[in-house]
Amino acid sequence: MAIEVIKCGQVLGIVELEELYPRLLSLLLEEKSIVFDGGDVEQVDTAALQLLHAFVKEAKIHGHRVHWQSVSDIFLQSARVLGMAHLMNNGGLLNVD
Amino acid sequence: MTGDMTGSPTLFFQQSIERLDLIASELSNDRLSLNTVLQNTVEDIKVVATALNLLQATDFTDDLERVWNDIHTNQRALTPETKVSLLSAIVLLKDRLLDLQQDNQATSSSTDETPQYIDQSVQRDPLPAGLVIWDIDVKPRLNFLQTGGEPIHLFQALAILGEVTVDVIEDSLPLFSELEPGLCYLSWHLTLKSYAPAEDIDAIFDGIEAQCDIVIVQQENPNRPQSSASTASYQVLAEAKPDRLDILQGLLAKLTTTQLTLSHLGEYFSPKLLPKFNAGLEQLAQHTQAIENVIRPMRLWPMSFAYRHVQSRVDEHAEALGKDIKLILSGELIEIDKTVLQALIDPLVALACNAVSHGIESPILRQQQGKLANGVLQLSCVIDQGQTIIEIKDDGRGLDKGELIAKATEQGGIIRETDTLEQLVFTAGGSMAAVQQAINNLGGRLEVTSLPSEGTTFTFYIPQKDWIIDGQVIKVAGERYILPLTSVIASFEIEPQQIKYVSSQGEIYLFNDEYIPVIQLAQLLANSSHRQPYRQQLLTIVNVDGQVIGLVVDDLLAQQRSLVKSLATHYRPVVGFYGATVMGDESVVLVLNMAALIRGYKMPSQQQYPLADEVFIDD
Repeated sequence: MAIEVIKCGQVLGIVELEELYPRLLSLLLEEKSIVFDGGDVEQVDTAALQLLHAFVKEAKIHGHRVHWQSVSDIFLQSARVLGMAHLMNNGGLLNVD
Repeated sequence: MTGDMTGSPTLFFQQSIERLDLIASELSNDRLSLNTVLQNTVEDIKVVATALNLLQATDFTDDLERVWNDIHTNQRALTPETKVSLLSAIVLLKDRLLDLQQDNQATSSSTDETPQYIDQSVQRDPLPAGLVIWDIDVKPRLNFLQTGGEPIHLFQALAILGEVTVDVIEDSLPLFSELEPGLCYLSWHLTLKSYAPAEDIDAIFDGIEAQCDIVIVQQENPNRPQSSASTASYQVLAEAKPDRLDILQGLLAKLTTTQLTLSHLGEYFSPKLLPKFNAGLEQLAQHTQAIENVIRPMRLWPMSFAYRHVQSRVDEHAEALGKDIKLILSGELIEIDKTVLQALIDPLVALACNAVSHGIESPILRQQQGKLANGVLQLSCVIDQGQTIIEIKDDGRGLDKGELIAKATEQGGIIRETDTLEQLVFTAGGSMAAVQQAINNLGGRLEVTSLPSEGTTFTFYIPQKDWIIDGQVIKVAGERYILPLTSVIASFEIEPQQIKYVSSQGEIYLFNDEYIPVIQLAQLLANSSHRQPYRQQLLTIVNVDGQVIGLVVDDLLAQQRSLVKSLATHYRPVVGFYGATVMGDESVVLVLNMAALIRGYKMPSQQQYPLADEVFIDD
């Protein structure tokens, strides 16, 4: 299965979702493993974390494999503040390879 | 008192037992709080016992200390029952010391029993007095995130008040393919364990009620202390609130204990004690960090707290005026002294609203001028060289000097030809005068820059109250000063003849193939044009706001880390100095703000009698 790597960049916020959402949506229709790289994230907001969480949930339903290559401390900390770190863990989001 | 417990085992036993007797007696009479005395004693016994190799005593004190720490960090409750347990433990500790004193060998059974006994007792205890558990439900409206709301900032602010647990509720989260990015489908249930009054919790959600349903309910405390006859005499003590001050007192005791260890080790120092010495230094660093961790949340709040007020008012204003305004915020997580932050909210709101009302044009007007219909208002915050710098920038029509003069005159203000834009803005009155007053009260200053049809930028420079810098200690005209190391590029000896004079630029020095201006720091500090003849001196090259300058100083002393206390907040603003610091020998030394010093300085090129050789430089 082909692998698609998605780099989250330094800022992952509501503005960036305008580009990220259609890209992720199209990935759901493709036979690909998805690897997120969140190692450079310096700023992430609730909108982005909510979207990623929803994506991981649905990707699993579609049988996609989702991995995280790395996540920055800020990313992880923000997920924890929102009480979402464990949800993401279950969804494989924070299973950093 | 702590220093007395070093020395021989005999002295150690004698003094420890005396102190435990004293605590037991004081406790029984409700005459003192347990906090520091018990902590001090347990720590001292532990440290001295370690130094004397009486390991059985240290195991015991470790357990007692652990329980005590749990109480201070609110993981266990401090109640009359706990105090009885602690008192019993003190008695057992005394017994243990007596045992050790008799045969220098502890019986293991009582050591194991006692901490367990304490554990069982404290686990049954109710919440400490004053500690309240709050249930907080946060259910944002769908457009909450789009209108600038950010739950992360809310929850971070709550965490400042106490221990927070967060449960996310995702019942309304649609499938990914059906969601609209940017809408908020999640809601949260939080539990906050805090000593903070209800108003502090309300204040965090202040201004967002229209965009978010918030329900805050205090949990009933099912474990209210039940005083029994045997514990009645400890009731008064139990009401003492183990707050951050208690934790600090505990940490102070730890610091004192570490100091004791180090001085003891120093007294009997040999190379084989080096690991213990290093461990002591490591402990010292940990305690310092722990103290900072306790103090920080007491003093510092994130900038997002102020931004939320701005966001809410900007939205209201923009909606009322039919303007589409995009608010861009940065530096939300920068932490600022709580009192300063509170004082900044009104000026920030006033300037932001002013930009929305008067700065940013209506969508139609903007389009006529070839601008995007939606205006942009940017708020940023950075900390640099002991100053908090906050910028409010709009892309509106800019300030019209003529209009300002007319308005200022109308308000009865006196206008001078030399008035700067800042002076005109604030003479024009209205809410602007209050902004200036608020910034002055904080010892700060304000700059305004504006370009017609491009926009206006207000910049606040607020001195931090206390901050830590790495600095270079220098000596000039017999006095010591500190230069922040971040501005220092290099320092070296120079011969007087290496400094040249050119009539157009004053004194200069060839550094890295470029001629840089040279300033005698003594002259700069005295604000005098009278120059001293050069001796063999030192040149320190500094970067001041991007300009490289050579400073002539008499001597370079140590480089050191210092706690700088702002003169603006502790005394009054003094141009040219960030603040003062206390040196190791307890003398007070000023910390130089080179940018401010240079701004108010008449460059040497204007002086008449050059002391250095005159040269000519090809441009």
